[in-house]
Amino acid sequence: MHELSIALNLLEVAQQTMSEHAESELVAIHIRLGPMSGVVREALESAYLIAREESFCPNAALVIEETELMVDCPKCGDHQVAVSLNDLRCRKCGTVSGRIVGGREMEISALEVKDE
Amino acid sequence: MTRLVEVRTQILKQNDVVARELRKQFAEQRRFVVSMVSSPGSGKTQLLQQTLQLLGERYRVAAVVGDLATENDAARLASSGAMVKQITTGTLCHLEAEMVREAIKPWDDIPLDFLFIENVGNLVCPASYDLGENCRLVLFSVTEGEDKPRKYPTIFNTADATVITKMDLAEAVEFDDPAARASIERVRPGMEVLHVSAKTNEGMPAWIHWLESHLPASIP
Repeated sequence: MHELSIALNLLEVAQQTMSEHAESELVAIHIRLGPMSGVVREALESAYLIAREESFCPNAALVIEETELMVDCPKCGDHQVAVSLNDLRCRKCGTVSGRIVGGREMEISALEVKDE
Repeated sequence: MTRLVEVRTQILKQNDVVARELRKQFAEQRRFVVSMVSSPGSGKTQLLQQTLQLLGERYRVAAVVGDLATENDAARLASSGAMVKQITTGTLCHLEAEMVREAIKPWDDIPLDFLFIENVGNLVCPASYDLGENCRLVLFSVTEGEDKPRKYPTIFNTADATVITKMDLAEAVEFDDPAARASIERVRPGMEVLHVSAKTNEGMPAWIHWLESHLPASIP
């Protein structure tokens, strides 16, 4: 359960970014989360609610966009969705591919701020 | 009214920065840094103890070991004669790059060939944290079941090689090696797999040789 650490990091990065952009009020943090990030969405959502209470933005929402697990398929010659986290074959043709090209994301994509 | 400020920043930016600095430092120091992850009780400490002893005959070796509580592991490892540091993480389920940097500071000016980082026994949380290591090993013992890799795909996918431990028990628990390899192949195609028993020494020479072959000095 490292989601609380992740939530605290997330708030720290958001706070830094807010001051860099000289924004005053944070409404929501938008993040992108991949299935291979090692973070469980539900656990992060719960941890975030606890972490934000004592933070600079006790009312800011967390908006999570889940990305897909993508592999570089040697047969299709393109980026394709993988069968699953524990089966890294191309969903389209079934070829094994070890090259993950998407799905590790754990990043803040945008900060939603109050427009004054 | 609200508006979106696009940022695209890694949530673990801070950890990533420190890990990058560590990796650069390790390269300058010509150290080969290996981290080990596994579930509790898979034999990390036992393997490391033997490894430190065997490598210690010819190389300068040190180890950092993370644990939730107690310093027992460090005491066990120190019996090998190597330099050992314990990081007691308290309630934290994983090591972070900054903890490693702090722990190894006293060794910054000491020449070392190998540095081992034993992570907290956990197959989930350590997956998200880069520690600046050159190589991440995931260990699992023959008693844990052949499908372990498929149950914890993320950690296996972030690792560079798998070490299957407690091979002395393989027969007793009817360990199915091809099934284990197939399971690894599903989550990390092409990953190297080593088999060892720190108890009977089975596979240990090959394991030591594998480590030696990764030393910066042996890479042309």
